[in-house]
Amino acid sequence: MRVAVKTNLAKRDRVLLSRKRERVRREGAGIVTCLIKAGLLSLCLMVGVGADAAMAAQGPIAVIVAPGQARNLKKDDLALLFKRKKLFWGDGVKAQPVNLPASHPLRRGFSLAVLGHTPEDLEKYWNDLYFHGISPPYVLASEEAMLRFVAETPGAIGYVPYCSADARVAIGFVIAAGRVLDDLPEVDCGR
Amino acid sequence: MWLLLALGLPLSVCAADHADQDDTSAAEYQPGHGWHVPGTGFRLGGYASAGFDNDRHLPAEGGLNDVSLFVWWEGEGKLRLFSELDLEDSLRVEHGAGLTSKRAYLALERLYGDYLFSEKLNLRAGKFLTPIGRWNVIHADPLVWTSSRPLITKRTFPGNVTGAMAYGTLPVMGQEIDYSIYTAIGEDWRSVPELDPFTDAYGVHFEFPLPGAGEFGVSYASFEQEASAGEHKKLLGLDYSWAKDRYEVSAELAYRISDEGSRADERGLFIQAVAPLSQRWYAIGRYELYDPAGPAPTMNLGVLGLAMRLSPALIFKAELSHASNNRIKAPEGFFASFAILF
Repeated sequence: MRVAVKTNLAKRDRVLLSRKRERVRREGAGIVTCLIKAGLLSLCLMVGVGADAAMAAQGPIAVIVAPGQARNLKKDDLALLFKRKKLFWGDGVKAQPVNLPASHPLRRGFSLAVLGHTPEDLEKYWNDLYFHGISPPYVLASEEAMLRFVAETPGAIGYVPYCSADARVAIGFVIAAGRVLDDLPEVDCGR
Repeated sequence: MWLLLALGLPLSVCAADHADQDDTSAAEYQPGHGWHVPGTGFRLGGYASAGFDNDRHLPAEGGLNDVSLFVWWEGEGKLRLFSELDLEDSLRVEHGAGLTSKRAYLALERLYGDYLFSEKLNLRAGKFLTPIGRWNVIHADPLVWTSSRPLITKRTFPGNVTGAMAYGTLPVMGQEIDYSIYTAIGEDWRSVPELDPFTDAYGVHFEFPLPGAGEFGVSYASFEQEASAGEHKKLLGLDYSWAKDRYEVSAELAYRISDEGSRADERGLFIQAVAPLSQRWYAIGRYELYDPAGPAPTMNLGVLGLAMRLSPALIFKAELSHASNNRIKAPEGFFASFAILF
Protein backbone atom coordinates (compact mmCIF):
# COMPACT_ATOMS: atom_id res chain seq x y z
CA MET A 1 0.00 0.00 0.00
CA ARG A 2 1.42 3.34 -1.02
CA VAL A 3 1.81 5.87 1.73
CA ALA A 4 1.65 9.43 0.53
CA VAL A 5 4.42 11.90 1.09
CA LYS A 6 3.54 14.02 4.06
CA THR A 7 1.92 17.26 3.09
CA ASN A 8 4.40 19.34 4.90
CA LEU A 9 6.23 20.93 2.00
CA ALA A 10 5.98 24.46 0.76
CA LYS A 11 2.79 25.60 -0.93
CA ARG A 12 3.97 25.05 -4.50
CA ASP A 13 5.21 21.61 -3.62
CA ARG A 14 1.97 20.73 -1.86
CA VAL A 15 -0.06 21.58 -4.94
CA LEU A 16 2.14 19.44 -7.14
CA LEU A 17 2.10 16.58 -4.71
CA SER A 18 -1.67 16.61 -4.26
CA ARG A 19 -2.08 16.32 -8.02
CA LYS A 20 0.30 13.44 -8.05
CA ARG A 21 -1.50 11.72 -5.20
CA GLU A 22 -4.79 12.01 -7.04
CA ARG A 23 -3.27 10.40 -10.10
CA VAL A 24 -1.79 7.67 -7.98
CA ARG A 25 -5.18 6.85 -6.43
CA ARG A 26 -6.79 6.68 -9.84
CA GLU A 27 -4.21 4.47 -11.43
CA GLY A 28 -3.76 2.01 -8.65
CA ALA A 29 -1.11 2.26 -6.05
CA GLY A 30 0.64 -1.05 -6.58
CA ILE A 31 1.19 -0.66 -10.30
CA VAL A 32 2.30 2.96 -10.00
CA THR A 33 4.73 2.24 -7.23
CA CYS A 34 6.21 -0.51 -9.29
CA LEU A 35 6.43 1.72 -12.37
CA ILE A 36 7.99 4.58 -10.42
CA LYS A 37 10.66 2.35 -9.04
CA ALA A 38 11.29 0.80 -12.44
CA GLY A 39 11.38 4.25 -14.07
CA LEU A 40 13.85 5.63 -11.57
CA LEU A 41 16.01 2.55 -11.85
CA SER A 42 16.06 2.64 -15.64
CA LEU A 43 16.79 6.38 -15.58
CA CYS A 44 19.70 5.65 -13.30
CA LEU A 45 20.94 2.95 -15.63
CA MET A 46 20.50 5.09 -18.72
CA VAL A 47 22.14 8.23 -17.36
CA GLY A 48 24.52 6.75 -14.87
CA VAL A 49 27.26 9.28 -15.75
CA GLY A 50 28.88 11.00 -12.80
CA ALA A 51 26.57 9.47 -10.25
CA ASP A 52 27.92 6.47 -8.50
CA ALA A 53 25.95 3.46 -7.43
CA ALA A 54 25.72 4.74 -3.90
CA MET A 55 23.88 7.80 -5.07
CA ALA A 56 21.42 5.83 -7.15
CA ALA A 57 20.73 3.66 -4.15
CA GLN A 58 20.21 6.58 -1.79
CA GLY A 59 17.30 8.00 -3.79
CA PRO A 60 16.52 11.52 -4.88
CA ILE A 61 17.98 14.55 -3.13
CA ALA A 62 15.92 17.63 -2.40
CA VAL A 63 17.66 20.99 -2.65
CA ILE A 64 16.04 22.96 0.15
CA VAL A 65 15.65 26.63 0.93
CA ALA A 66 13.66 28.59 3.43
CA PRO A 67 9.94 28.77 2.58
CA GLY A 68 9.37 31.66 0.20
CA GLN A 69 12.92 31.54 -1.14
CA ALA A 70 12.28 28.83 -3.75
CA ARG A 71 11.02 31.32 -6.31
CA ASN A 72 14.45 32.98 -6.31
CA LEU A 73 16.31 29.79 -7.13
CA LYS A 74 17.35 29.06 -10.68
CA LYS A 75 18.88 25.80 -11.81
CA ASP A 76 21.99 27.53 -13.18
CA ASP A 77 22.55 29.21 -9.82
CA LEU A 78 23.07 25.98 -7.88
CA ALA A 79 26.71 25.48 -8.85
CA LEU A 80 27.46 29.18 -8.50
CA LEU A 81 26.01 29.22 -4.99
CA PHE A 82 27.91 26.13 -3.81
CA LYS A 83 31.17 27.33 -5.42
CA ARG A 84 30.69 30.67 -3.61
CA LYS A 85 30.68 32.60 -6.85
CA LYS A 86 27.13 33.81 -6.32
CA LEU A 87 26.98 35.39 -2.89
CA PHE A 88 23.55 37.01 -2.90
CA TRP A 89 20.03 36.02 -3.82
CA GLY A 90 18.08 38.06 -6.35
CA ASP A 91 16.40 40.01 -3.53
CA GLY A 92 19.77 41.01 -2.04
CA VAL A 93 19.74 38.57 0.88
CA LYS A 94 23.14 36.99 1.46
CA ALA A 95 23.26 33.37 0.31
CA GLN A 96 24.28 30.85 2.98
CA PRO A 97 24.98 27.49 1.34
CA VAL A 98 25.59 24.61 3.74
CA ASN A 99 27.09 21.19 3.20
CA LEU A 100 27.03 17.84 4.92
CA PRO A 101 30.44 16.34 5.83
CA ALA A 102 32.62 15.40 2.86
CA SER A 103 32.29 11.68 3.55
CA HIS A 104 28.47 11.76 3.70
CA PRO A 105 26.93 9.85 0.73
CA LEU A 106 24.40 12.61 0.17
CA ARG A 107 27.15 15.22 -0.03
CA ARG A 108 29.03 13.12 -2.55
CA GLY A 109 25.93 12.65 -4.70
CA PHE A 110 25.12 16.35 -4.55
CA SER A 111 28.70 17.37 -5.31
CA LEU A 112 28.95 15.11 -8.36
CA ALA A 113 25.57 16.13 -9.74
CA VAL A 114 25.85 19.88 -9.18
CA LEU A 115 29.56 20.66 -9.16
CA GLY A 116 30.77 17.81 -11.35
CA HIS A 117 33.48 16.77 -8.87
CA THR A 118 33.85 14.81 -5.66
CA PRO A 119 34.51 16.78 -2.46
CA GLU A 120 38.12 15.54 -2.56
CA ASP A 121 38.63 16.89 -6.08
CA LEU A 122 37.39 20.26 -4.86
CA GLU A 123 39.92 20.54 -2.03
CA LYS A 124 42.34 22.44 -4.24
CA TYR A 125 39.57 24.75 -5.41
CA TRP A 126 38.74 25.68 -1.81
CA ASN A 127 42.38 26.11 -0.83
CA ASP A 128 42.84 28.46 -3.77
CA LEU A 129 39.75 30.45 -2.81
CA TYR A 130 40.89 30.63 0.81
CA PHE A 131 43.97 32.44 -0.47
CA HIS A 132 41.52 35.09 -1.68
CA GLY A 133 39.53 35.24 1.53
CA ILE A 134 36.61 33.11 0.41
CA SER A 135 35.55 30.26 2.66
CA PRO A 136 33.70 27.12 1.58
CA PRO A 137 30.12 26.52 2.69
CA TYR A 138 29.70 25.68 6.35
CA VAL A 139 29.43 22.01 7.20
CA LEU A 140 26.60 20.70 9.31
CA ALA A 141 26.85 17.35 10.97
CA SER A 142 23.47 15.83 10.12
CA GLU A 143 20.45 16.05 7.88
CA GLU A 144 18.32 17.25 10.78
CA ALA A 145 20.86 20.00 11.51
CA MET A 146 20.65 21.00 7.86
CA LEU A 147 16.86 21.14 7.95
CA ARG A 148 16.96 23.31 11.06
CA PHE A 149 19.67 25.62 9.71
CA VAL A 150 17.95 26.15 6.37
CA ALA A 151 14.57 26.71 8.02
CA GLU A 152 15.93 29.26 10.50
CA THR A 153 18.62 31.11 8.51
CA PRO A 154 17.64 33.75 5.96
CA GLY A 155 19.25 33.00 2.61
CA ALA A 156 20.27 29.45 3.52
CA ILE A 157 20.33 26.63 0.99
CA GLY A 158 21.13 22.97 1.57
CA TYR A 159 20.02 19.48 0.66
CA VAL A 160 18.46 16.46 2.32
CA PRO A 161 16.97 13.16 1.13
CA TYR A 162 13.79 13.99 -0.79
CA CYS A 163 11.56 12.16 1.63
CA SER A 164 13.11 13.93 4.62
CA ALA A 165 12.11 17.40 3.44
CA ASP A 166 9.31 18.68 5.67
CA ALA A 167 7.19 21.78 6.15
CA ARG A 168 10.02 23.80 7.65
CA VAL A 169 11.64 24.14 4.22
CA ALA A 170 10.74 24.47 0.56
CA ILE A 171 12.08 22.23 -2.17
CA GLY A 172 13.84 24.18 -4.89
CA PHE A 173 15.02 21.33 -7.08
CA VAL A 174 15.32 17.59 -6.95
CA ILE A 175 18.44 15.69 -7.93
CA ALA A 176 18.01 12.13 -9.15
CA ALA A 177 20.25 9.86 -11.17
CA GLY A 178 23.04 12.42 -11.03
CA ARG A 179 21.00 15.22 -12.59
CA VAL A 180 19.13 18.25 -11.41
CA LEU A 181 15.53 17.66 -12.52
CA ASP A 182 13.27 20.38 -13.81
CA ASP A 183 10.15 18.92 -12.22
CA LEU A 184 9.44 17.21 -8.95
CA PRO A 185 9.52 13.46 -9.52
CA GLU A 186 6.91 11.02 -8.42
CA VAL A 187 8.56 9.32 -5.51
CA ASP A 188 7.18 6.78 -3.12
CA CYS A 189 8.10 7.97 0.34
CA GLY A 190 6.24 5.09 1.94
CA ARG A 191 7.69 3.82 5.16
CA MET B 1 62.95 25.22 9.58
CA TRP B 2 62.88 23.46 12.95
CA LEU B 3 60.91 26.32 14.43
CA LEU B 4 58.26 25.93 11.78
CA LEU B 5 58.27 22.17 12.15
CA ALA B 6 57.76 22.58 15.88
CA LEU B 7 54.84 24.89 15.25
CA GLY B 8 53.52 23.01 12.29
CA LEU B 9 53.49 19.43 13.47
CA PRO B 10 50.94 19.92 16.25
CA LEU B 11 48.78 21.74 13.73
CA SER B 12 49.31 18.92 11.26
CA VAL B 13 47.92 16.42 13.75
CA CYS B 14 44.88 18.64 14.08
CA ALA B 15 44.70 19.03 10.31
CA ALA B 16 44.99 15.29 9.75
CA ASP B 17 42.04 14.77 12.07
CA HIS B 18 40.06 16.82 9.58
CA ALA B 19 41.49 15.14 6.52
CA ASP B 20 38.10 13.93 5.36
CA GLN B 21 36.59 17.39 5.54
CA ASP B 22 37.32 20.10 3.06
CA ASP B 23 35.26 22.70 4.72
CA THR B 24 34.63 24.73 7.79
CA SER B 25 32.26 23.97 10.58
CA ALA B 26 30.63 27.02 12.00
CA ALA B 27 32.24 26.94 15.40
CA GLU B 28 35.70 25.45 15.26
CA TYR B 29 39.07 26.54 13.96
CA GLN B 30 40.48 24.41 11.20
CA PRO B 31 43.92 24.92 9.61
CA GLY B 32 43.56 26.27 6.12
CA HIS B 33 40.24 27.94 6.79
CA GLY B 34 41.22 30.80 9.06
CA TRP B 35 39.72 31.88 12.33
CA HIS B 36 36.47 33.77 12.55
CA VAL B 37 36.72 36.42 15.25
CA PRO B 38 33.55 35.75 17.25
CA GLY B 39 30.86 38.35 16.99
CA THR B 40 32.50 40.19 14.11
CA GLY B 41 32.79 39.86 10.37
CA PHE B 42 36.57 39.53 10.66
CA ARG B 43 38.59 36.45 9.85
CA LEU B 44 42.29 35.88 10.35
CA GLY B 45 44.37 33.43 8.41
CA GLY B 46 47.52 33.12 6.38
CA TYR B 47 50.40 30.85 5.66
CA ALA B 48 53.99 30.24 6.62
CA SER B 49 56.85 28.50 4.91
CA ALA B 50 60.38 27.54 5.78
CA GLY B 51 62.93 26.11 3.42
CA PHE B 52 66.43 25.03 2.56
CA ASP B 53 67.99 26.23 -0.70
CA ASN B 54 71.10 24.74 -2.22
CA ASP B 55 71.22 26.89 -5.33
CA ARG B 56 74.36 26.11 -7.32
CA HIS B 57 74.86 29.82 -7.97
CA LEU B 58 74.73 30.82 -4.29
CA PRO B 59 75.90 29.59 -0.88
CA ALA B 60 73.48 27.16 0.74
CA GLU B 61 70.99 28.79 3.07
CA GLY B 62 67.76 28.15 4.88
CA GLY B 63 65.21 29.79 7.12
CA LEU B 64 61.76 31.25 7.33
CA ASN B 65 60.75 32.29 3.83
CA ASP B 66 57.34 33.77 4.50
CA VAL B 67 55.00 34.45 7.37
CA SER B 68 51.95 35.87 5.73
CA LEU B 69 48.92 37.18 7.57
CA PHE B 70 45.50 37.56 5.96
CA VAL B 71 42.91 39.77 7.62
CA TRP B 72 39.59 40.08 5.92
CA TRP B 73 36.17 41.38 6.74
CA GLU B 74 32.81 40.51 5.32
CA GLY B 75 29.51 41.71 6.71
CA GLU B 76 25.97 41.07 5.59
CA GLY B 77 26.24 43.76 2.93
CA LYS B 78 28.05 43.84 -0.38
CA LEU B 79 31.37 45.25 0.83
CA ARG B 80 34.33 42.97 1.48
CA LEU B 81 37.82 43.98 2.61
CA PHE B 82 40.99 41.91 2.35
CA SER B 83 44.61 42.45 3.32
CA GLU B 84 47.78 40.38 3.25
CA LEU B 85 50.99 41.36 4.96
CA ASP B 86 53.97 39.15 4.24
CA LEU B 87 57.06 39.08 6.44
CA GLU B 88 59.65 37.83 4.00
CA ASP B 89 62.99 36.22 4.89
CA SER B 90 62.53 37.07 8.55
CA LEU B 91 65.11 34.56 9.74
CA ARG B 92 67.86 33.10 7.57
CA VAL B 93 70.75 30.83 8.30
CA GLU B 94 73.42 31.71 5.75
CA HIS B 95 76.66 29.94 5.07
CA GLY B 96 79.40 31.82 6.94
CA ALA B 97 77.02 34.41 8.43
CA GLY B 98 74.93 32.31 10.78
CA LEU B 99 71.47 33.36 11.82
CA THR B 100 70.46 36.72 10.42
CA SER B 101 67.38 38.82 9.85
CA LYS B 102 69.07 41.46 7.71
CA ARG B 103 66.99 40.57 4.67
CA ALA B 104 63.68 40.70 6.53
CA TYR B 105 61.06 42.81 4.82
CA LEU B 106 57.42 43.43 5.60
CA ALA B 107 55.67 43.49 2.26
CA LEU B 108 52.17 44.66 1.58
CA GLU B 109 51.09 41.91 -0.78
CA ARG B 110 47.44 42.86 -1.04
CA LEU B 111 45.08 45.48 0.34
CA TYR B 112 41.77 45.97 -1.36
CA GLY B 113 38.07 46.45 -1.05
CA ASP B 114 35.48 44.62 -3.12
CA TYR B 115 31.99 45.80 -3.89
CA LEU B 116 29.97 42.74 -4.83
CA PHE B 117 27.24 43.86 -7.18
CA SER B 118 26.42 40.32 -8.34
CA GLU B 119 28.18 37.19 -9.55
CA LYS B 120 28.43 38.89 -12.95
CA LEU B 121 30.06 42.11 -11.77
CA ASN B 122 32.23 42.93 -8.79
CA LEU B 123 34.49 45.92 -8.38
CA ARG B 124 37.86 45.88 -6.64
CA ALA B 125 40.05 48.82 -5.70
CA GLY B 126 43.45 48.73 -4.01
CA LYS B 127 46.50 46.51 -4.37
CA PHE B 128 45.85 43.02 -5.71
CA LEU B 129 47.56 40.17 -7.53
CA THR B 130 47.96 40.62 -11.26
CA PRO B 131 45.51 38.26 -12.96
CA ILE B 132 47.90 36.84 -15.55
CA GLY B 133 47.91 33.05 -15.75
CA ARG B 134 47.10 30.89 -12.73
CA TRP B 135 50.32 30.54 -10.77
CA ASN B 136 50.58 34.21 -9.88
CA VAL B 137 47.12 34.40 -8.34
CA ILE B 138 47.62 31.29 -6.17
CA HIS B 139 51.37 31.52 -5.61
CA ALA B 140 51.36 30.85 -1.84
CA ASP B 141 53.78 28.10 -0.89
CA PRO B 142 51.16 25.71 0.55
CA LEU B 143 49.13 25.91 -2.66
CA VAL B 144 51.83 25.10 -5.19
CA TRP B 145 53.71 21.86 -5.70
CA THR B 146 57.27 23.13 -5.95
CA SER B 147 59.49 25.41 -3.87
CA SER B 148 60.78 27.08 -7.02
CA ARG B 149 58.55 29.09 -9.28
CA PRO B 150 58.37 28.95 -13.10
CA LEU B 151 60.32 31.88 -14.49
CA ILE B 152 57.56 33.11 -16.79
CA THR B 153 55.24 33.56 -13.80
CA LYS B 154 57.75 35.78 -12.05
CA ARG B 155 59.98 37.59 -14.54
CA THR B 156 57.70 38.56 -17.41
CA PHE B 157 55.31 40.80 -15.44
CA PRO B 158 54.93 42.37 -11.97
CA GLY B 159 52.96 40.20 -9.57
CA ASN B 160 50.84 43.01 -8.10
CA VAL B 161 48.76 45.85 -9.41
CA THR B 162 47.70 48.92 -7.48
CA GLY B 163 44.57 50.10 -9.18
CA ALA B 164 41.06 48.95 -9.96
CA MET B 165 39.50 45.81 -11.35
CA ALA B 166 36.11 44.55 -12.47
CA TYR B 167 35.59 40.80 -12.26
CA GLY B 168 32.89 38.18 -12.20
CA THR B 169 31.40 35.11 -13.79
CA LEU B 170 29.37 35.32 -16.98
CA PRO B 171 27.07 32.59 -18.21
CA VAL B 172 27.82 31.89 -21.86
CA MET B 173 26.13 28.98 -23.62
CA GLY B 174 25.57 27.17 -20.36
CA GLN B 175 29.17 27.60 -19.21
CA GLU B 176 30.62 29.81 -16.49
CA ILE B 177 33.29 32.12 -17.86
CA ASP B 178 35.34 34.01 -15.28
CA TYR B 179 36.74 37.35 -16.29
CA SER B 180 38.80 40.19 -14.83
CA ILE B 181 39.58 43.57 -16.36
CA TYR B 182 42.03 45.79 -14.52
CA THR B 183 44.07 48.93 -14.71
CA ALA B 184 46.92 50.32 -12.63
CA ILE B 185 46.30 53.69 -11.02
CA GLY B 186 49.08 55.74 -9.48
CA GLU B 187 52.17 54.34 -7.77
CA ASP B 188 52.46 50.82 -6.46
CA TRP B 189 51.85 50.61 -2.69
CA ARG B 190 54.90 49.50 -0.71
CA SER B 191 56.64 47.54 -3.41
CA VAL B 192 59.09 44.80 -2.57
CA PRO B 193 62.49 46.42 -3.32
CA GLU B 194 63.74 43.78 -5.75
CA LEU B 195 60.54 43.82 -7.81
CA ASP B 196 59.93 46.18 -10.69
CA PRO B 197 56.37 47.49 -10.34
CA PHE B 198 53.94 48.71 -12.97
CA THR B 199 53.88 52.41 -13.65
CA ASP B 200 51.09 52.05 -16.14
CA ALA B 201 49.06 48.95 -16.98
CA TYR B 202 45.78 47.55 -18.11
CA GLY B 203 44.80 44.02 -18.95
CA VAL B 204 42.17 41.30 -19.10
CA HIS B 205 41.99 37.67 -18.14
CA PHE B 206 39.34 35.13 -19.15
CA GLU B 207 38.97 31.62 -17.79
CA PHE B 208 36.90 29.08 -19.72
CA PRO B 209 35.83 25.69 -18.38
CA LEU B 210 36.42 22.76 -20.73
CA PRO B 211 33.79 20.29 -19.49
CA GLY B 212 35.57 17.18 -18.29
CA ALA B 213 38.88 18.47 -19.59
CA GLY B 214 39.99 21.21 -17.20
CA GLU B 215 40.09 24.96 -17.56
CA PHE B 216 41.69 27.19 -20.13
CA GLY B 217 42.67 30.81 -19.61
CA VAL B 218 43.73 33.72 -21.79
CA SER B 219 45.50 36.85 -20.52
CA TYR B 220 46.41 40.08 -22.23
CA ALA B 221 48.24 42.99 -20.64
CA SER B 222 49.73 46.25 -21.86
CA PHE B 223 52.13 47.93 -19.44
CA GLU B 224 55.23 49.89 -18.49
CA GLN B 225 57.49 49.25 -15.51
CA GLU B 226 59.43 51.54 -13.21
CA ALA B 227 62.93 50.30 -14.04
CA SER B 228 62.41 50.58 -17.77
CA ALA B 229 60.48 53.82 -18.01
CA GLY B 230 59.37 54.61 -21.55
CA GLU B 231 59.54 51.01 -22.74
CA HIS B 232 56.05 49.77 -23.51
CA LYS B 233 55.34 46.05 -23.28
CA LYS B 234 52.43 43.89 -24.36
CA LEU B 235 51.92 40.40 -23.03
CA LEU B 236 49.76 37.55 -24.26
CA GLY B 237 49.38 34.61 -21.90
CA LEU B 238 47.67 31.24 -22.07
CA ASP B 239 47.10 28.89 -19.17
CA TYR B 240 45.59 25.47 -18.70
CA SER B 241 44.85 23.29 -15.71
CA TRP B 242 43.25 19.90 -15.23
CA ALA B 243 42.82 17.84 -12.07
CA LYS B 244 41.13 14.54 -11.38
CA ASP B 245 41.58 11.80 -8.82
CA ARG B 246 44.63 13.63 -7.40
CA TYR B 247 46.38 13.80 -10.78
CA GLU B 248 47.06 17.28 -12.10
CA VAL B 249 48.37 18.85 -15.26
CA SER B 250 48.99 22.57 -15.60
CA ALA B 251 50.68 24.72 -18.18
CA GLU B 252 51.27 28.38 -18.90
CA LEU B 253 52.64 30.30 -21.82
CA ALA B 254 53.67 33.94 -21.93
CA TYR B 255 54.79 35.99 -24.92
CA ARG B 256 55.82 39.54 -24.15
CA ILE B 257 56.78 41.99 -26.85
CA SER B 258 58.51 45.32 -26.38
CA ASP B 259 58.34 48.49 -28.46
CA GLU B 260 62.14 48.58 -28.21
CA GLY B 261 62.58 45.72 -30.64
CA SER B 262 62.75 41.97 -30.63
CA ARG B 263 65.88 41.82 -28.41
CA ALA B 264 63.72 43.11 -25.58
CA ASP B 265 60.99 40.52 -26.18
CA GLU B 266 60.55 37.74 -23.66
CA ARG B 267 58.69 34.45 -23.97
CA GLY B 268 58.40 31.09 -22.39
CA LEU B 269 56.17 28.24 -21.36
CA PHE B 270 56.03 25.54 -18.76
CA ILE B 271 54.12 22.32 -18.32
CA GLN B 272 53.83 20.57 -14.99
CA ALA B 273 52.39 17.17 -14.09
CA VAL B 274 51.56 15.82 -10.63
CA ALA B 275 50.85 12.17 -9.87
CA PRO B 276 49.93 10.58 -6.54
CA LEU B 277 52.33 7.88 -5.35
CA SER B 278 50.44 6.99 -2.19
CA GLN B 279 47.83 8.54 0.06
CA ARG B 280 50.17 11.41 0.95
CA TRP B 281 53.10 11.33 -1.45
CA TYR B 282 53.14 12.91 -4.89
CA ALA B 283 55.65 13.05 -7.72
CA ILE B 284 56.05 16.28 -9.64
CA GLY B 285 57.71 16.93 -12.96
CA ARG B 286 58.02 20.26 -14.73
CA TYR B 287 59.63 21.42 -17.92
CA GLU B 288 60.12 25.08 -18.74
CA LEU B 289 61.38 26.81 -21.85
CA TYR B 290 62.38 30.41 -21.22
CA ASP B 291 63.75 32.99 -23.60
CA PRO B 292 64.65 36.08 -21.54
CA ALA B 293 64.87 39.61 -22.84
CA GLY B 294 68.37 40.73 -23.75
CA PRO B 295 71.34 38.79 -25.03
CA ALA B 296 70.97 35.70 -22.83
CA PRO B 297 70.11 32.57 -24.84
CA THR B 298 66.95 30.51 -24.57
CA MET B 299 67.15 28.18 -21.60
CA ASN B 300 65.57 24.86 -20.71
CA LEU B 301 64.76 24.13 -17.10
CA GLY B 302 63.61 20.82 -15.65
CA VAL B 303 62.32 20.12 -12.15
CA LEU B 304 61.75 16.74 -10.53
CA GLY B 305 60.17 16.77 -7.13
CA LEU B 306 58.45 14.91 -4.35
CA ALA B 307 55.78 16.32 -2.11
CA MET B 308 54.14 14.95 0.99
CA ARG B 309 50.74 16.49 1.58
CA LEU B 310 49.94 15.80 5.21
CA SER B 311 46.58 17.51 4.89
CA PRO B 312 45.04 19.99 2.48
CA ALA B 313 46.69 22.73 4.55
CA LEU B 314 50.14 21.25 5.08
CA ILE B 315 52.82 20.25 2.58
CA PHE B 316 56.47 19.23 2.56
CA LYS B 317 58.32 19.58 -0.75
CA ALA B 318 61.74 18.62 -2.07
CA GLU B 319 63.00 19.02 -5.60
CA LEU B 320 66.00 18.92 -7.90
CA SER B 321 66.21 21.33 -10.78
CA HIS B 322 68.62 21.61 -13.64
CA ALA B 323 68.91 24.22 -16.38
CA SER B 324 70.78 24.59 -19.61
CA ASN B 325 72.15 27.95 -20.83
CA ASN B 326 71.40 29.45 -17.43
CA ARG B 327 73.16 32.79 -17.95
CA ILE B 328 70.58 34.63 -15.86
CA LYS B 329 71.43 32.47 -12.84
CA ALA B 330 67.89 31.30 -12.31
CA PRO B 331 67.60 29.13 -9.18
CA GLU B 332 68.96 25.67 -9.93
CA GLY B 333 69.93 22.87 -7.56
CA PHE B 334 68.21 21.27 -4.57
CA PHE B 335 65.35 22.97 -2.76
CA ALA B 336 63.16 21.79 0.09
CA SER B 337 60.42 23.54 1.99
CA PHE B 338 57.65 23.04 4.46
CA ALA B 339 54.50 25.15 4.25
CA ILE B 340 51.26 25.47 6.13
CA LEU B 341 48.05 27.37 5.66
CA PHE B 342 46.70 28.51 8.98
